[in-house]
Amino acid sequence: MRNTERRSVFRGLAVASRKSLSQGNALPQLGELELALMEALWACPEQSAAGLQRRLPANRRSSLSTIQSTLERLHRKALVRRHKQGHAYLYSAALARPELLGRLLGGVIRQLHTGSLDPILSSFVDFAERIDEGTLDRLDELVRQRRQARRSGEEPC
Amino acid sequence: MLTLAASMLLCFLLLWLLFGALGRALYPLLRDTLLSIDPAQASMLLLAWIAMPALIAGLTCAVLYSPDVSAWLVTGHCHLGNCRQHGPQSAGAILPAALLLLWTGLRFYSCLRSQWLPAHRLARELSAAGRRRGDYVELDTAEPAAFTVGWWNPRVFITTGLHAACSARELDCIVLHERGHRRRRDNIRLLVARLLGQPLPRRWSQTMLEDLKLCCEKASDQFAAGSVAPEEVAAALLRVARLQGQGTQPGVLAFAGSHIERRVRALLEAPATPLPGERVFACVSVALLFILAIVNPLHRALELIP
Repeated sequence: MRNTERRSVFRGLAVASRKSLSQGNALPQLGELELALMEALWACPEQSAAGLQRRLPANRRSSLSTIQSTLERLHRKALVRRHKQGHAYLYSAALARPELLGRLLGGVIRQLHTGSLDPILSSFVDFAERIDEGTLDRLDELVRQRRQARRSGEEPC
Repeated sequence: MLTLAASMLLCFLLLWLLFGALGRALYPLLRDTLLSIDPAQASMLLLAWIAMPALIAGLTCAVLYSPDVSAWLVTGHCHLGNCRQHGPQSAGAILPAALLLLWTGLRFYSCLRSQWLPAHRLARELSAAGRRRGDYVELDTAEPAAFTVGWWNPRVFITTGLHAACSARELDCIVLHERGHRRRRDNIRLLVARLLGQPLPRRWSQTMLEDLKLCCEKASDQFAAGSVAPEEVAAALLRVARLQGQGTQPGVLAFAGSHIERRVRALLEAPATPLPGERVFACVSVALLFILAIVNPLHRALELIP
């Protein structure tokens, strides 16, 4: 990817992130159809809107005009590139799958650390919680004693 | 008709606030008992306690404005020669009822907007980003994390980092714990609790919500401990806490009685016993008697509103 294109991709993602940040979530907002179109483009690049419409899974298939407007949105978010061939645009993904998903997960992990996702998920252990090493060591020792007691068939004291 | 609807609404919202304050004031008396009983039952009772102000306000309003029921509870009186059974009405209730309704509606809307849709979107995007592995989705990131997202059909996500750092036994404990959250619909339980706390000042419900979250975590730990030894679940908890860097130097951001410590101790101690059914029945009976006892004075008090 050329440097100027790369800069424009990151600018686009930054804009998308800022928009979603203002809505309380740092993820670039992608609708179900947008994600399905990205998947189709990763699987088979350089597609027209009509070609993408045929490649979408049956449960995601929409009218051609909906596909076109969704592609337009993805283009504005700098997630797809396009060039004209004849009367139609040909689209391809501007970001590789691992790159986009890496950014997506990066945003989630950042929010897990700040605790801003706490109201919408249940974590095995909360990132935001703090406990001192000494307490962790004491609790580890308790677990070890309990394991020993179970192995020897005794009740722990 | 408008006066009746506004009076009923104002009465309901004011009672909700009043019982909310009462519930918050009485909570410290119940807290220790709730946190010491079986966590699955404690989470149900705590949710009921959080819902109580709205439930009692609704029930009291229904009794207050139902002529058949209030005939038994309200001493007879007449208004301008009209001696029929009636609910307390006031034309002055329209404006305050509209304002309170607007405030409550906005709080509900903002809570749903910031939680309901983002959770759907997060679950959808993470499902697309991850690889399905049995009943959980693996997310390709080195950061160690495991969590459940979604309301009706929650999905479990575990990161590659956690997958690589944990043994098969620890991973089993984590998956079982998250399965417990999914089966108990803990996310929706917490959302309902947060919604019910919306009309009240946030600080009133904060402790109760924290305790509800702790009870849900302990109940899911207990669910996992039903299939593997409790100390294995405790060990997995401590392992993930260390991996996530929860351990700090003594005195730095450290506090005793953290959720991790309480959960580990609950797993290692003898299982907590559920509250006997008779006590729960007695509490419900007292609440019903309380509602019946306040109908008459409340009717008179509401009629004093100009």
